[in-house]
Amino acid sequence: MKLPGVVRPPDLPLAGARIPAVVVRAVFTITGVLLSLVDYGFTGWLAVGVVLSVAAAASPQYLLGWVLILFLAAGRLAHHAGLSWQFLVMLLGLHLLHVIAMLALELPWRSWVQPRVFVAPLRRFLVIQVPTQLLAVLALLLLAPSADGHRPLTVAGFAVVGAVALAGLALLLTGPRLDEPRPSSKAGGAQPRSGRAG
Amino acid sequence: MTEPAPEPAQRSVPVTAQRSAPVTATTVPSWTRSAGLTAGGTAAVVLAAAGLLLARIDLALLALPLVVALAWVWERRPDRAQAATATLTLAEPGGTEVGFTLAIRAPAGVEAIALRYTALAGEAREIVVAGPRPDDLVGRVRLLHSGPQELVRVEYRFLGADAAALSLPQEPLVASRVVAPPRTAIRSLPLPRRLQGLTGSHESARAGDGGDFRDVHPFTAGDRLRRIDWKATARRGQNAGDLYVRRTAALADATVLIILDSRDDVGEQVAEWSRNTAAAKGISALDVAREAASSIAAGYIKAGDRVGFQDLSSRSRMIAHAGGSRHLWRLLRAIEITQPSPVRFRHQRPPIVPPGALVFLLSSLLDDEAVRLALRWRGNGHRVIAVDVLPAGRFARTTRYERIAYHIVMMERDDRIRTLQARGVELLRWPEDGASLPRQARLQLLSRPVRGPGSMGGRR
Repeated sequence: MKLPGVVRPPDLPLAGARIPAVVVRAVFTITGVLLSLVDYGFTGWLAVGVVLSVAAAASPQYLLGWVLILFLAAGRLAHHAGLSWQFLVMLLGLHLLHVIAMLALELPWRSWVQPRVFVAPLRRFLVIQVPTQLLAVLALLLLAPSADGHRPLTVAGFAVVGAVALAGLALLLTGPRLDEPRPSSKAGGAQPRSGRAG
Repeated sequence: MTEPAPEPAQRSVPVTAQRSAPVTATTVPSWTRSAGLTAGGTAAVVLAAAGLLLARIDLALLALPLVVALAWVWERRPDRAQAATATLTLAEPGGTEVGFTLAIRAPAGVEAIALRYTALAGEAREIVVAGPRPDDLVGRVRLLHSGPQELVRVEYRFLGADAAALSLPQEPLVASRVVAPPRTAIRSLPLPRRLQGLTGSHESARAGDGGDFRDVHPFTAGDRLRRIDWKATARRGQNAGDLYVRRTAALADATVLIILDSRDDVGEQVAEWSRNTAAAKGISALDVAREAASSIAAGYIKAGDRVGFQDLSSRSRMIAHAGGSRHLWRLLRAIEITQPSPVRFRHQRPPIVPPGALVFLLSSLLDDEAVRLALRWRGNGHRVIAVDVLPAGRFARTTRYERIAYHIVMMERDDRIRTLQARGVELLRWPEDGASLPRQARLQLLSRPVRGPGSMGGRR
């Protein structure tokens, strides 16, 4: 790889970093606007979505990206909870917004990024999205209320989901903090955890 | 049982390279989590709670990928105890460029490395490369200036999966190098008004051995018999005892003191005079001064003379006059490490000049301090040559006000030069900017025998 010298920086590849970090923010804005359009259509709320998309991309440090995610999710309340292509697009788009917002928050906006930097997040995105979409389709088919408002499995389904969520939350709370050392892989997991459990 | 705390960073100050020694930093990064992790978790919890409270499974499903993604990046966070190593290596300079190689080995779990690097203290550039084992980064920096300089500075930090975990910026790697100035061969060497010593390569005004024919003189006690000029004796002798001898000039050496005014270092690009960035200012006054000083020192030392050196901006950078090749290396080293001092240093007394020495004062003559010193030495009877090292100005990207300010500064400078010349200080403009005679011709003019106060006859 080649770093640019002092003399002709624009002509030289930046260690293979061909993508300006601004592109990440532009993708975020475009995604946010398109999702707002899908969710709200050409209504006044679309303007709010556009403003949030632009503001979140311009100043990611204010965490407006996640406000936009909540705003777009709130837009689902105006729709029927059943299976539709708009919901599947929203499921994909909100996840994408989250990933891009995480990256935009830490990538210097004047920097140039190697394409390889995006490979791992993209792979993770696909690995999460494929089963999530299948699960969403299955869950909506089984649990979503039908046209006559009947929802036979909703209570049981939410009980399961709630139990899983609670278990996950408990795991997160009892897990090690980021600033704590991780258990050594050589120990094979036999060593006890530090005494901050619970 | 708790795990041992990681060792602190092994290096806490910027590392400066000497010559080609690689600059290596091995640190245990301090990790923190991104605010996006908290924000994403909050959004997921809000969505799940809303789905639960409003009995909207679609809202709960929207939270699902966020939760999974956050859990994934949390699990894949970088190993906190693992050390990172970064090595910055400068290659041997090839012509006007020097290459550098940056090798970074990041802890496991690092997915990206944000690099911020500057060359020649210029504008910072930022790139993000994939981790944790990026290919070695190779670059080249053009050597634009002589003297001590920071060639490359690299700062970096590590990003975990989805930038959820990030390290604090690591200590910068700094590769510096002292670049020797180019030297110009000087064919004509101006000499002081008085030569000293009994040996050397210059003919003095004294009668002695080694030089060319000086005169025919009546024989005196101490004259060697083989110097008797029998033809002159036959022609001029009035009595039988009158004898005439042919006398030759004695050889002597010159004492030269090079005084380098390194208090300012402005470049040829006038627009950069206020910012003074190495990458954009062009040839600077100190570049010219270092070249002139090393050329003058090498020229006189090779002629067998004694040369001393003093830097006006530092009390410590002073080398007493001496001769020889080892002394030349000392002089060249002192000249190439000359740089402006951040502390203003005003001489209460001018530097001491050896008796009969020729003084070269290398200055941009942008203030009165150098003029004051030159006039003092001239008043003491020394021959003083003020070497003007200010490169001709270039006016790219200058504003009208900057051009006006430049012309005012130049008019004041011209007044100083006229004052110097009126008091007998000679001027040598070193840059070859086509405004006057070629440098060698100017040196030749200065090398002609001069008569003046303190001179001893036609020869020195």
